[in-house]
Amino acid sequence: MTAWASVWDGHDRRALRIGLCVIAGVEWCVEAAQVAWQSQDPAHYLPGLRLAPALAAIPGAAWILYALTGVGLVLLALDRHPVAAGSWALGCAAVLSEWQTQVFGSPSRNAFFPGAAILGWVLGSLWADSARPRPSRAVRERFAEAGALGCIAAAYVGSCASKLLAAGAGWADGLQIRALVVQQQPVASWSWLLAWREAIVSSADLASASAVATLVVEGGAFALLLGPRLRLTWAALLVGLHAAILLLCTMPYLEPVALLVLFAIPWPRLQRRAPSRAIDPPQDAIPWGVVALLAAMVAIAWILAPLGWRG
Amino acid sequence: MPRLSTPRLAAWLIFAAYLLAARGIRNAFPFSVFDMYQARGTTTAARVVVLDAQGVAHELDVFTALHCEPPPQLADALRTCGDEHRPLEYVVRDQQQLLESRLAGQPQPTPITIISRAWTFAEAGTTTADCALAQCTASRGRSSP
Repeated sequence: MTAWASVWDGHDRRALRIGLCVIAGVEWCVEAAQVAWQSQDPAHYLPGLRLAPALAAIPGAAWILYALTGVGLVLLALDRHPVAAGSWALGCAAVLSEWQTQVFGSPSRNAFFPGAAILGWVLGSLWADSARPRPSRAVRERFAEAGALGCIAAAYVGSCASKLLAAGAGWADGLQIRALVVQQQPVASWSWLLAWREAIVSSADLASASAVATLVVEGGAFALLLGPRLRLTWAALLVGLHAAILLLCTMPYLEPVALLVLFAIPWPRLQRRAPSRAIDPPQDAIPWGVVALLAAMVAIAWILAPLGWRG
Repeated sequence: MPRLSTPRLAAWLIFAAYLLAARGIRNAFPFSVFDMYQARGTTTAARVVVLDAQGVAHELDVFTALHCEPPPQLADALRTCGDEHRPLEYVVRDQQQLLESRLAGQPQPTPITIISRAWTFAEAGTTTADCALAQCTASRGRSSP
């Protein structure tokens, strides 16, 4: 297994860490605002189960939850107790997400992308921190970046796997894409956009080609883990996929786009910063405790499967 | 001892753990299988749109004020228009909210028809079928993209 390479190697990852927290903070602020007003509009939104009515009865509960989440994000951005701070932020955001799911009727996957990235950052930090003596911040954040990219890649590969497991190769017939275009927004005032939408709707071949491209780009997202050049290339493909989804279906997935731009673009090189220090050597021993934690996380997720939301 | 604990190993194990955990719980923050549009599509799909006096289709949000007697319940399209008129639930909810927020007490200058338009995707080609939900009058605002 060859060494990990990142455009941030030899550079301070402060901007990466702060950027991740800002993206999460902005998205979860949007979610808190939506929950705050949707939970007060029972004419259009669901009353929810036990959690939603209990929280809705507390004045400003969505914003209190957001403030608590923000405490964790600020500490994480400052690199103060990153594992605890990130875990705290994820815990508070999980409550907000569950509330949003109960009120809206389905979870906001936009909020899941920064959540997954922070989970990966936390797990990567934990992995590095388990070494003795404790590694430098540079080493720890190298692992944190790797963990965050691991979760971002898994999100896309998981999306592809869902389609293939649910519909098999039949998903590639393009019917789902054609339906989404007309259900989301078939009308357009821009003539080129209207022509594009109508071409997808009327041409089975074009819709099928779009579906195949979607599966390939999502399923190939593991390339984000294969080095800076492939990372940049595949991030560009994923951003292109999101741009097409936005234009064809008016579905703005700005959070993953922001994360891809943050993690894949060689910002230190664009700023013409020379590496300030040599790349730290890898750690010697596999942290089996963290590996066991990952295995436990998977096992718990399967045990708690009945509690997960299913559409 | 070989140097095995690289960030690459951590990245791949965390990747696998997230993927497997999400397959188990499906959707519980921050885990998700992102299964929003995983199903194979159906051969029909529908959406509520607005026809102007010339029969040109527009989005509802093009109109800034609407006067309908009585205001339509857009979700009724499935019941009143037939099985193929099945819009996305959250889309029609957003449209209903928009409609209610822009209802005007007085008649407006432009006659419009709010319809459910159903598309059928067949080998021979794509066809549409319109079903009127309400005759209204409206004032026109901005154009939608």
